[in-house]
Amino acid sequence: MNDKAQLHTLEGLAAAVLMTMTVLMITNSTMMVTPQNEMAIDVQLKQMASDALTVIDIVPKSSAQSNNAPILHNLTACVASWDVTEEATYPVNTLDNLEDGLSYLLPNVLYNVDLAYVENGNITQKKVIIKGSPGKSAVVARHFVTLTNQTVSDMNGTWNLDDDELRVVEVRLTAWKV
Amino acid sequence: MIDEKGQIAVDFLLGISLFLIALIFIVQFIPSLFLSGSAGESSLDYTAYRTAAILAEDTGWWGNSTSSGTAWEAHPDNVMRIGLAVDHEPESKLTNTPNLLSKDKIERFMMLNESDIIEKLGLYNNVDGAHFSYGYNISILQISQNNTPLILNNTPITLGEATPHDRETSKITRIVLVETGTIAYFDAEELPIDPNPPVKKSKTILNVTGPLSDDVKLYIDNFDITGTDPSFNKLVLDGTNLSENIDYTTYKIVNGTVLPLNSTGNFDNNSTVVFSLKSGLFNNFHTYQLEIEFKDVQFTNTASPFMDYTQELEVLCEPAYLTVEVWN
Amino acid sequence: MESLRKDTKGQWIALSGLVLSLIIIGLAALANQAAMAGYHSSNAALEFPKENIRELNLHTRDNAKIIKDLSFEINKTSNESIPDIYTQLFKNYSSQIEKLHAIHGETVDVSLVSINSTNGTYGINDIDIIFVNITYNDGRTHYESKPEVIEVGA
Repeated sequence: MNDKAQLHTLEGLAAAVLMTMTVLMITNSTMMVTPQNEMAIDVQLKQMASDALTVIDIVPKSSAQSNNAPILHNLTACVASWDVTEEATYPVNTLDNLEDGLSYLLPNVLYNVDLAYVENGNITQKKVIIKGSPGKSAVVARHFVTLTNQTVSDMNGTWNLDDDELRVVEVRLTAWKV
Repeated sequence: MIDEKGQIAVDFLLGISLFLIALIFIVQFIPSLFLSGSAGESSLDYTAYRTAAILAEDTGWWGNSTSSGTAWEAHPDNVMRIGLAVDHEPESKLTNTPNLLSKDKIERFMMLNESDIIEKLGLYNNVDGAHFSYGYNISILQISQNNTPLILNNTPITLGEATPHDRETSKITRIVLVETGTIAYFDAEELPIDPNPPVKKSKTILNVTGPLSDDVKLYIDNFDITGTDPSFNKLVLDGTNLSENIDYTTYKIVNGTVLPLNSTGNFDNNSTVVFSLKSGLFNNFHTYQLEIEFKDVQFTNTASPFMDYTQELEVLCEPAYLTVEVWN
Repeated sequence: MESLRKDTKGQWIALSGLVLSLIIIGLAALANQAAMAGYHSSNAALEFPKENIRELNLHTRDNAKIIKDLSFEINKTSNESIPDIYTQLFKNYSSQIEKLHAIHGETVDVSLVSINSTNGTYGINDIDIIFVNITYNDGRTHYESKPEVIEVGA
């Protein structure tokens, strides 16, 4: 029997405690458990929202559309037909032809649409479709249309443009999954 | 501390066994940490996104030593890049209409063989020069009926295998507008009375300039009804009577709903009457004369000039979902 | 304590425990890099303003044609020359589109460089090609197209 005190026990204990604490510290820090799939869902939704506006923008103005789907109205025609005096208040929407197109292309998605344009040097933003308050991971898609007096009067809108005036309107779609 | 007796000190034993227990526990535990953080899965996401972007937004490219361009569907042997977007101005070699897909390109895409698709679209994993191809499913689906592929030329547009349910897949969906064919709209007020004898106010005539490879679709509306039984009688092409369901089909659209209409079938002044003539009838370089005879309907315009189908042609568009799904 | 000081053996148990902990920390940092790489790549797909740049470009191209038609209409009732009317309308369009981008924090510059016609006159069917400079900057991505050649001929 050795009566000289030895440190082996304490060494072993110290080493075990050190390794265990390291592992615990690492697992408790949140860096290693970032969920990757969250990002992928955002990319998909952003691309869908952007695609929906693109498709509505390139739909030919004539009514050459298939009978398997409801008629999509061209984005310029939709915006030109808007009544400037009516702004949407929840739950009444003021741009029904755009609303029909978007709800067909984006099922299971909630969205708001705003129009922004420059009038007399000032930027004005008006809401035209409201379906609620945007959620946490909402995405935004933007498209521009150009209006002249001719396009507005063809669609019976009330934009009141001069004959030599060109107005650029930004259509902003905010979409989120419920 | 060296003991000559050949016994291990008890506290050394205790220390080393504590250490070993902790070591074994940790060695078991660590791999489960790394399982959740593996990076290999994300390359599926990128591949799906990239493939969908190329198919939906790019026109594709072909090239050989003398020339190149975007119409790769006409030069399938020299394809360098596959894309389905339509290019209405081939001289500019770019497209102003991404997300609008061309019927010719889609049909050519369906005829490509599997190795071409995998190589040209990059659906493989490159490991030290060896290609491990992914499983894939590329389809164009109808929006209103989930998961049924769009049908062009009697073929459903879907390539690749069915999605496996036992492993991880990555899928991305794009909204696209597909050009599914061409149609011509006619207003009955502008259609002229047929001058060929016997002259009747209920017969009209159209020119169709061949050759035409697709089905000919005519939409006529805004009829001037004169009697109690407005109906369609027959179609005569260059003097020969056409047979229903063999040479053509016909139906009517009332308020957006498609309803059947056969010869002697009725319609009213709110309906649009549609004739779909089979493609084989107009194969020659020749201006065909198509006479359409109705009953209790009158046309008011005088014969010359005749209206020509090929000049009223518009492209028919249908929105759809382009989905790309890849797995290992 | 005398024996402790003379103990030159090196406490290899504690030492190996320390070494193993350091190895575990190193591996965790490495795995973390892989996780961060995945995050940054998807973020890059979200960050790059592909749709905005394409929309700016396509919209300017469409507008060059719309402005040409509008200038011919205005020229019928005014005595300014067509290139002057075109330049004024284009400036108006420029300022609107720059403001609409500025509210999102993007700097855009769309400026007319020249109006060209192949036979020198500026009649209804003569104006063929418009040269425009387009610049876009959203702080992370810088895009320039100098010049953008737009064909507006019929």
